Amino acid sequence: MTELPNELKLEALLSTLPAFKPLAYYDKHLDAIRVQILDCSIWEERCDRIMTIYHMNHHPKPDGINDVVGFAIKGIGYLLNKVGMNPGEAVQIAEFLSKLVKLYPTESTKRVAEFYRQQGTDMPQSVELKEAA
Amino acid sequence: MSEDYYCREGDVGLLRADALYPSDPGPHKEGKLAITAEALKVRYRQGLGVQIAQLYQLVLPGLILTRHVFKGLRRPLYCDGSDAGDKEKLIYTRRPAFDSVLAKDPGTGLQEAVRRAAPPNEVFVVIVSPNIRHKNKFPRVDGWIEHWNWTKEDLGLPEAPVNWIDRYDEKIFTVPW
Repeated sequence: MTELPNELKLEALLSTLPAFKPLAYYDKHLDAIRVQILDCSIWEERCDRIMTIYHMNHHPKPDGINDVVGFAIKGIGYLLNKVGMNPGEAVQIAEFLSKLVKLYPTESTKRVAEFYRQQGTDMPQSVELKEAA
Repeated sequence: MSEDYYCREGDVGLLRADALYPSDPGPHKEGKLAITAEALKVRYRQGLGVQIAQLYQLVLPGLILTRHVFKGLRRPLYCDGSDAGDKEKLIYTRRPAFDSVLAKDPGTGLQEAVRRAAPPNEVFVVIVSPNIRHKNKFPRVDGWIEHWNWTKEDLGLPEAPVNWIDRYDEKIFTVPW
């Protein structure tokens, strides 16, 4: 093993960590768009094959609604094709969710779309699909 | 602690951990799972401190403690030019005794990783991609650590994610205690 560079030591990473801001990014390895509004320990609720909802662990009063801190949409390549959006361009999240709700009007899809709408303008509006996770 | 996991392959820094890995023939062998330093830095730039703390305190030291390994995510996945990418993924699961979160050191005011009791009725999941395309460049890496999270525990199979039969194609092996 080689000596760990100082910049990669856990203490150094955490003590200089940039401030967290709500984020949305494309996880190319798992072909998913991930949206997260809080840096916290998360448990993932797999709703179905395309939707996963993020809940905060160690929440003082977990109720399954107010402990939601994000979501993942999985199978992006497949879904963009299904809703007729161009995978070569940045994905407008609101537009994508709106089309998903029409195509898959499931409870989970509606929950995710509503959660995203409630976050307002603080949320990232689009995701670049070429970004590395 | 984290020094033990660092190595370099050519010009690429890796954090690499021991893990049991599926083998053919046989259920498993000793292997190495890794994440690039660059993938870690992406999370750093995103401000994902808890993910980083969990990587150092739960993922890297904990992969060797895995209880179950599953294969194949049941969902539409397009990865690395293959629309069968979901079939190749490996899922390592266990129930750790603790979680890793962030807190401010009262003395220095700096953020640090601290342990908390594991969330009740949850298991810790690590998703791994087999190292197929980059085997020539990284011959000592069996798989790439892609993602980690907690999820609810299955009622029928301890230390497995809830409804694992619907989530994954198959269970590769379970490590007996």
